[in-house]
Amino acid sequence: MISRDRFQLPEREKTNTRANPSLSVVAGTAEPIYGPEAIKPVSTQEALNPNYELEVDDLKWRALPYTCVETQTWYLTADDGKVALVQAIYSNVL
Amino acid sequence: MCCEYINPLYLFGMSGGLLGIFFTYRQVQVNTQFVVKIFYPDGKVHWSSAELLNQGFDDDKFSFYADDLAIELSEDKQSYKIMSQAAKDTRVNLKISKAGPGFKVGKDGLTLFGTDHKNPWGTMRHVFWPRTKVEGSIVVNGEKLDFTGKALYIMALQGMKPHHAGRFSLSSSQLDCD
Repeated sequence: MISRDRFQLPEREKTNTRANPSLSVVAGTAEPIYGPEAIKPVSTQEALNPNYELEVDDLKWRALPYTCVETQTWYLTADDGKVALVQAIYSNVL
Repeated sequence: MCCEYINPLYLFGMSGGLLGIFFTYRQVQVNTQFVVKIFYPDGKVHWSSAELLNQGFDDDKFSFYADDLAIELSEDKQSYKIMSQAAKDTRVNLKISKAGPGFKVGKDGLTLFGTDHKNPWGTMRHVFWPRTKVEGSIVVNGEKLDFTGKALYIMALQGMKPHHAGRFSLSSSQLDCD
């Protein structure tokens, strides 16, 4: 019988340095892996809008007064084969 | 970059006392950018990224304006007009019209990050017009490129500081069913 504990990483190794070892370590922003209780995906709300309807107010810019990045992006596929990305970016750093 | 301003004000009392009043406020740094990337059928790529100045919104925040740029949602909320001369070599004049229903998951389209959902560390929001028609053109270095065709519109908000591992692949399949 193999004990489950043999496959547990020691606590100090449980950071995202394994997933992205270079950048976050160099920047000093490596964080622990928090687990599923630290995210509430939008899919948990799916039943509240079964037809996936978009309301007019949803198209308003939020332009939050704290650190955020907001974008409107259009991905174009022209009939003649050209593809383009057109994007407006609003970035706020507090 | 965020700046902290301190405005000290020193008052001298009649009896020789000194009172110092300090005002501090933090300035929020807003930057806006307009990006265009064009993939030609022959493999050539054109990239343009222009910093925008004097940005602002209309009262309802449906439309976005800056020097040499306007991205306006129409009165009927069914189309966007995108006009930009912010980059001299890439002039955009496009109209994107909704060609099907919009798409949003849930009541606010938000994914919350953090262990306390009432006070999230950050949020991620997406709303979509999965199917739209595009007409208009982009003028690249004087050459007018026609952009009649289809488009996908995504409005996204990352309500927190960016992550290093923020990478994703996007694919859009637009199928016509008769």
